[in-house]
Amino acid sequence: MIGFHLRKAIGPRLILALVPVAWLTWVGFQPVTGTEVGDSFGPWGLGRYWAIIAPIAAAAVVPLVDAAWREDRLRAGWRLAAASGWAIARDRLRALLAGFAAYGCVIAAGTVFVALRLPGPAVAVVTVIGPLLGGYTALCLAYAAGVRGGTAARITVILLAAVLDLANALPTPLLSISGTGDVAAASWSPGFEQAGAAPLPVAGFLAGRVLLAVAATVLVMVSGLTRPGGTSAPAR
Amino acid sequence: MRTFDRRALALLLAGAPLLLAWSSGYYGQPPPGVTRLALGAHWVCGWLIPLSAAAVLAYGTAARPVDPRVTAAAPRDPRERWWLEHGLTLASATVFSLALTLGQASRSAEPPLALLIPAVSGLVVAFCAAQIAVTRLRLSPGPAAFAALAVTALPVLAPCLTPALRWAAVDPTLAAWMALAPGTPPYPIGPGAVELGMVGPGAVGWPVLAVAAVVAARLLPPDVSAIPGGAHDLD
Amino acid sequence: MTSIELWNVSKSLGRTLALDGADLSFGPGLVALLGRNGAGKSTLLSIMAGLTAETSGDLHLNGSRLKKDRRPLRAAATFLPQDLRLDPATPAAAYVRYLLDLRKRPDDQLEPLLARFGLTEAATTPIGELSGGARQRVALAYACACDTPILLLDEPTQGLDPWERLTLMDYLAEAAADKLIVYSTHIISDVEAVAPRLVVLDRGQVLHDGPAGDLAAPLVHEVPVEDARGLVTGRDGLYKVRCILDGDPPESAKLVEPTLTDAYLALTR
Repeated sequence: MIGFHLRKAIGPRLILALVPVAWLTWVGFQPVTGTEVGDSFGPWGLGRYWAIIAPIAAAAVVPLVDAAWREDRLRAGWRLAAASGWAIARDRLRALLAGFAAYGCVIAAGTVFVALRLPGPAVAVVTVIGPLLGGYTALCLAYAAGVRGGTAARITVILLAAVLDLANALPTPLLSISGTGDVAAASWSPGFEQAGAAPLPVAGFLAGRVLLAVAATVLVMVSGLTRPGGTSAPAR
Repeated sequence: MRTFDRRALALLLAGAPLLLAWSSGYYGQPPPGVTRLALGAHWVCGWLIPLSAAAVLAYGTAARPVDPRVTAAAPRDPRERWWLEHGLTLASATVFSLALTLGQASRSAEPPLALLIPAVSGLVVAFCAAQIAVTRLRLSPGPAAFAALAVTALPVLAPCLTPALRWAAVDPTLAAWMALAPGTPPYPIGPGAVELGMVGPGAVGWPVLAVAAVVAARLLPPDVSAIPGGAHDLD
Repeated sequence: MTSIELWNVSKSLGRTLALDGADLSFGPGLVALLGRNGAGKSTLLSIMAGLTAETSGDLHLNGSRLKKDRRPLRAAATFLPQDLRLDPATPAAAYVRYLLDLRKRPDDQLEPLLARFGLTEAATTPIGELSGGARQRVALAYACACDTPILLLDEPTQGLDPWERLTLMDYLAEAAADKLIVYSTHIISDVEAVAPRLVVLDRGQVLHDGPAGDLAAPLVHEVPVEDARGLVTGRDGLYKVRCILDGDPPESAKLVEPTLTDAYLALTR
């Protein structure tokens, strides 16, 4: 069923999402250029790299999976199938996961590139726990916002999260999409600044992230409860 | 009759934290001799204004309340009519952007022209990108906003982050500062190479290229009937 | 007088040949377009409206060959798609006026048309609050109020009740005196009632072009159910099935008068 939703998003447009990420990858691995990654690429560079890639990938994925996440189209299917509240909640989660799968693919592709540059446990830990968990929460929030506010609200929420993450000095340790913003970096031990070390997440930070992901999942599933599936969308 | 989807204005919220952080001098690592306020002003005018304009205009004008098969039958080509139909929106965006730019100039003590030139160049690119995404590519609001954002990012963002393209920056001052070049323009961009002043080739070249793309999108194909997706749900 | 001619017109949509070498000539009058879903009806109408370019072939408007520029065709024609997108937030009359203004057409016929289609009271209601049939009538009011010499209607009777269909057919028959009106439909009784000319499309090809009565009438039999094994479990042998048989009819079969529906089914099966 996730595949059913994902098929609506598949197309040449998804390839477009890879273009800015590919370009940033190239930029990130240039010799010292004034960008934040630079050529002394270590755990710190890895953290900065994901702090740029993850929000942009999430921001790009949202409009590209628009067709799969359109509440009015989903509601039409639910009405036709006379779906119950629980079935609707599950299908909503499936639609969300379809978008997350697209995001996960971009992150996975980036991971391969980084793994070539920085072999070792740091890659797995930072790329799995940081961008995938943080991106999941951000996409959940965007999805829930879109149930009521439509595509514009969805894009706004994800861009806002991306901007907060990229701005780096704003208090976003929990909402950092990559989990590697300057403030969020304190949640890793040892910190990103210590080159050559393999950072691991601090237990409290990890627990907070997992809790947030669970809460966000519940939010997605109940996000349309006050607007039952039978409510007709405005005619277009 | 509304022709602009006001929900697009919500997209401005996304850039609000950056506007706040940059224009208050809260964020950024300027090179020696440059203040955070000056760096932030260039970020606002060179990046934030064009990128926000591209996303908002593309989203707002792509959400058409009229069936494209009716608009295509109107006497004027939809690719031309976009400029007339959304003239007020474009004018509002321009006035708002210019006011913001002048505000940034007075706050940061940067020469107004050093901020106005990149802002106007970026706006021209943003308008053209939005127009092509909506009328030529016929994208729906979300993808149109993304496409316009990505295309606008190419001239305003990419040269600042890519050393080989620094000469093509819409805002040469910002490009130099991003490379941590100290002081004020002009900046050398390589041994024996031309120096970057307040106005670089990018500030003129990119808008010209964008306008040329709009003209090409109007001429190819010459008639709206040849644009793919002109008729929906054909059987 | 307005005329459109299509010379060997084809249109490809991806790998599908939506229209395959259509040769058709239209003058003032009412023409019905029949065909199964996917037969190419909407593609044909869209090309005739100047909204879609053909892949190959020639188009002539009033005797002049049209080049790439289809503005003359769009100025002369109004196309009503079967799924016209209407703004749900705008009142019906205001929306139609806006569309007419967009097309630079006068709105002097709008009031009488709204009255004719029973929309006078609904004129100030936002379109999103109207019923499906009323929305379809709003769309029809727009198409008719444009008052162009060519009117192309894609399944205009969908969602209309029998009285509303009669009103529409009445209007079309009246307007066809000085306009070219082409409408596609799946309702054969609409064709029988008013259209003097019928074009049947199937898989992009023109199968029939002429009066409805000229459709080759098939041999139609009524077969008692007891002999039509496997179709219906009859109780007392009184049930009969109308069918077009491929082989020799059984002895119990009786030849009956074919209808237009029979002729159409025989042609497109």
